[in-house]
Amino acid sequence: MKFGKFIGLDTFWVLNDEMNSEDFASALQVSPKRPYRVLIASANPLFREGLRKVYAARWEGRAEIVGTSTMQEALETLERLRPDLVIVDYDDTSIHRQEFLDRFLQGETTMQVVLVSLDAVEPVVLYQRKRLTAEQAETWLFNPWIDAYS
Amino acid sequence: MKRIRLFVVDDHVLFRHGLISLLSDMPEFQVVGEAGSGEEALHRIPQQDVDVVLLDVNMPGLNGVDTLWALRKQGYENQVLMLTVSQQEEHLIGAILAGASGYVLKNVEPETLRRTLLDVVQGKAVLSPEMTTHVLKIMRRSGERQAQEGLSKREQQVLRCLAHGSTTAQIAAELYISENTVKTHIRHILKKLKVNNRVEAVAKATQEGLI
Repeated sequence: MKFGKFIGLDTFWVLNDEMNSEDFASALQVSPKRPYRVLIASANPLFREGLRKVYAARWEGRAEIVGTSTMQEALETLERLRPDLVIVDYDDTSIHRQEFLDRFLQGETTMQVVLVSLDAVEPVVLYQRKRLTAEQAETWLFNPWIDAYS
Repeated sequence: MKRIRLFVVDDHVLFRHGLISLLSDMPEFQVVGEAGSGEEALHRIPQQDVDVVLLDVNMPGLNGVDTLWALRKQGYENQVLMLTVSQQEEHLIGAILAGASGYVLKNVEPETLRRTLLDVVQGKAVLSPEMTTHVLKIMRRSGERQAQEGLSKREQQVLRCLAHGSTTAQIAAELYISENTVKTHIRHILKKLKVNNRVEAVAKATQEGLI
């Protein structure tokens, strides 16, 4: 797996063709003993459904992948599913970032969030709940890709 | 049934792979190739038998519009559908001028994209509803510019006099024409500028930099 440019976060990488499900699972520190629980939050149906299909194919039954299209639906699913991984469409203006961040910070599990932007050149920023600093949280709320451009 | 051959150009790996996965599940289509940049697309598309290229706009390096211009320059004549998050008018205009078959935003439903691609293959032009609004605005502005450009030299002189606060009689005296002629010119000015009175005409002319 190729790692991208660090921007002061725990891990920041560019997903590419060389990345397989094992790389991703390993990077995300998800236990392989039970199905991964993944939530994809995006109002963009092409992005949401496309990503769901890609990961469903890669993890072949080893993951429960749920897509949500509204903020309310995402928060309810977050509560019910307690996902290991949440993929958030950063460009989705219907997602209230502060509220989503607050929910993300609750709890003691090692849930992770990947912010993805279709606008940004560098596509992925990863946050880990138990290691998120105040500075990183602030970056999440604004533009995590600013440093990547500089 | 012969499947429609698609080529996907998008720098965003996650989106590109997701899109290809969705399209591959649709029985009408076969994704025959992909590229992560405009440069790569220019190299690969002409080597393949492609019915429709799905082309992103915002890409580092050669953007989608420039890629399309370059493809046309190479003699590539097949259908190209822009699939983008960009709602910028310059991108829309550039894509249309370069010969795009359509301009669709990435927030479409998969089923809408499927129907759009089928339309494009049949030679129809397609635009996202959001972009249709932009096209109407562009046309309206263009129409207004044409009307303004259509002011005769004499009408422009009358307009300048109006801006200085001159009355009909004063304008007639200054331009050595009759008051009736001045009124005729003013009627034409109001019509061309699509305004209702002299004050509006002066305001619009000032705003548009005509005087």
